[in-house]
Amino acid sequence: MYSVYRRKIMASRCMKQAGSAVLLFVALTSAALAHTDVGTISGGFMSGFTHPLFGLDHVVAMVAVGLWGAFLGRPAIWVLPVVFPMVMAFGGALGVMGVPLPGVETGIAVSALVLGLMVTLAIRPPLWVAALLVGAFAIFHGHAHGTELPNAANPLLFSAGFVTATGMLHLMGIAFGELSRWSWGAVAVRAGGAAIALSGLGFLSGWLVA
Amino acid sequence: MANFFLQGLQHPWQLPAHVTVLIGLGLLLGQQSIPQRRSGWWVFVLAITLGLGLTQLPASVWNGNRVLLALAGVTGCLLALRLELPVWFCAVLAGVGGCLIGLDSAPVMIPGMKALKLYSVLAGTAVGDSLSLGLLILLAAPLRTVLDGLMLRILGSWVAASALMVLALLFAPHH
Repeated sequence: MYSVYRRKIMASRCMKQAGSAVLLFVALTSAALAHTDVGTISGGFMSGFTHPLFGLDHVVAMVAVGLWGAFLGRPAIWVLPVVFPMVMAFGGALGVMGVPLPGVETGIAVSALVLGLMVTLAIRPPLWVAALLVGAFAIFHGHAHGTELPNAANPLLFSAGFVTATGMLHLMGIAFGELSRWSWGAVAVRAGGAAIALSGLGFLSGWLVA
Repeated sequence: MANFFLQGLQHPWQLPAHVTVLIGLGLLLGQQSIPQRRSGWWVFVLAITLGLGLTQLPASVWNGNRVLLALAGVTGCLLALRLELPVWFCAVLAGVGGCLIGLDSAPVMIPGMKALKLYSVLAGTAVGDSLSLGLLILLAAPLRTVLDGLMLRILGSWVAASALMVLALLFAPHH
């Protein structure tokens, strides 16, 4: 009886050890593949993803786009976050091609100032005007990212990373902007817009460093 | 043998261009009605099988990154526009996508590698790509009406933007 019990314990230990060995094997080995850029998948994406996040001027402007979209309601809530990356891609292509664009950093700072003011002052232009304005600013943001693209180890992962980060910042802005459904929330959203506009002013004047 | 099949199964998710096309195509088909989804998936399965088969021909060595990125850009734009597409158009898109991914998924030829191992890799790739596309379609289908399809539109714009920017890089004169 005792030996059967002991054998069961031994078998259970062996199974655990074998399981751990298999897990270790799976975790530490990788498949042999023909493509040389495979190893950079997470690194390439993460370097692109963090690119907009390290520039405070980019961050506030992206949040402002979502905030303004949510503030304007449907269909602006989806039109602005869709227009922005599409036009940003055009700006990025200009940067990649080496087409010079004067005042890129100034344009980015102005985008934070103007979009922040739009939210603060509760300005509701026609949809096409809002889309045009956001699209115009997206060119500056795209150009700034695009000039970095040729240096990336994997350009597609880098661009997917920074486009995703940009979109996440828009979604953060939309989520914050949704608070405007309540009266206290509308005040908070407009105060957020004012903070963004002030930071834009700070970047323009040099008080704040992006 | 199973190891080679697993290698093929992982293959689609290790190539950024393939992942971008799969996401764009899967979400686009998921955004459409049931007939478009069904025909698109079946055509994709047939096309990827054809494409993988063609990699075994001596004259099929090519780099399809530009065409794949262009296709991803088109699917991303269509997603963002949220158009009701005809069945034949979805089938053509899925067919082109499947064939291109298949052609770009030629396995590494190791000297002395047995044919059965090679076919295991190819089968794994076909299954991996088809399952991935099916999964993406299933994930996208419930989102097509949520908030006027907001999530799918935004994801489409991300796919298009990423693909088009890298396409510009590939066409840049100094690249």
